Amino acid sequence: MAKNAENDIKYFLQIEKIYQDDLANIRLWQNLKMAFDEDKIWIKDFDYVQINSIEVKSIPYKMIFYEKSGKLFLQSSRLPDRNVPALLWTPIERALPVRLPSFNHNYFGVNEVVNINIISSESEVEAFGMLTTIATLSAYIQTAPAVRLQNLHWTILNNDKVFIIGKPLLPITGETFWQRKDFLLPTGYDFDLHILSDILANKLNPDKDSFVIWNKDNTYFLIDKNDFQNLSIGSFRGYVIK
Amino acid sequence: MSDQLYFLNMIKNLRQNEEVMLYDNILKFSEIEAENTINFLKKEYQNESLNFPFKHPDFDKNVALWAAKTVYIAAQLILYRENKSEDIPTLLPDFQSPISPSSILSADLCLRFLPDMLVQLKFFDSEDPLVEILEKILSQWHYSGINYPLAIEKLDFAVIDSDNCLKQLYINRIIENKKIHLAKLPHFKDTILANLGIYGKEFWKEFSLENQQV
Repeated sequence: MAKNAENDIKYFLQIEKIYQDDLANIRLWQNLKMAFDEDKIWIKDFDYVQINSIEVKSIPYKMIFYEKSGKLFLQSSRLPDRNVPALLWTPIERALPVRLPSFNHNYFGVNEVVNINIISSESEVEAFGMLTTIATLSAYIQTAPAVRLQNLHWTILNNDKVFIIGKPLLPITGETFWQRKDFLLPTGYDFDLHILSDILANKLNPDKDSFVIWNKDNTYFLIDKNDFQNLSIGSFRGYVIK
Repeated sequence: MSDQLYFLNMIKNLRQNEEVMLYDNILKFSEIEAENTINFLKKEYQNESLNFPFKHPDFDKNVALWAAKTVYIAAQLILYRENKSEDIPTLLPDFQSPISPSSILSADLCLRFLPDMLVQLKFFDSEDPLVEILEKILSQWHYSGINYPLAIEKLDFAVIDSDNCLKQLYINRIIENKKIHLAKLPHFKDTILANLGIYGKEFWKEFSLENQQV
């Protein structure tokens, strides 16, 4: 395939040092290199898409150049403006450190409580657990090929429900769950504050010997990992039909 | 008591520990011992049939006993050979009645150990006339010989096709042993593809890749 000629052009951006904070939006682009030249800031290695993006266009008081054989041309100009400045370039991440607001030592929010909520989520994760009824599983498993059962484990809940874990799950109807460590969350849902899930796991399941199954109404229940056994036609018939 | 039951003990040990243990070079056994062995195998069959998909065929005691005898005598002949090679066919008779799904599964209780014994025998002497006889038995009862390289063209799949349970078990064994030449036969190919579903690549990469190219 022919190379896209436009991608070869490298763009430069120059801005006064006092407007440094306006660069926050492009700090994430790791290909960029940055240098300080007295009271000016230079950023190089933009590609065509980046230089035309909203993030760059929304930076005020900037000057954009493109580079050709060691010379810098103002954007949409055919006359060379200056030479490429010889500066010490550093990755933009390092040149623009993140500053955190200083800690407020007079704030004691010890009585505050965080509510754990489960909300619908955009990210797609393969299902790992399934809650279904004995009748549904029975209809499938009596004729199931062994290859589909080999990776699965199961346990019985409340005499009429079964919980199956493993990948890939069986092609039967049921509520599915995805796994984050020992938490099994309903597919399509995640914690409102998912960053808390490790802390929550330590509180709910300190010995890590159970799976914590979450329902969509923010309730949960535990299943001991030792309660799961291999799913096979024999193990199903042994427990259910006996 | 137990020191008398050489045959029964050998079969029990084979089924429970998957080891051949022979007590002496004795090729004969009593009616009572045969009866006990049938009871033992029947129990084993009942346990195994819990794991069979669909409705399992009934236990066939004659063929189960014949298979147990075949394995026992084959083991005797591999370890203590006192008979002339002309006697071997009379010691290992073919099973005389027609093959059915229930006889295949009953015979498999013991015959499934033949492929491993054959490998051992070939290791001792690959020219042994016993090899040919055991291979002939296996290609007749080829459900037990899936993990042994048999000549696929000569196998008869009519009985396998006639029973859902047996066919699914046969396919389970093909997938477990990854026998691609058997899997490509028209008898099995579609069902195996259906069994693997969209997870073909995860379960059996080689087979699903071959089917993509076609």
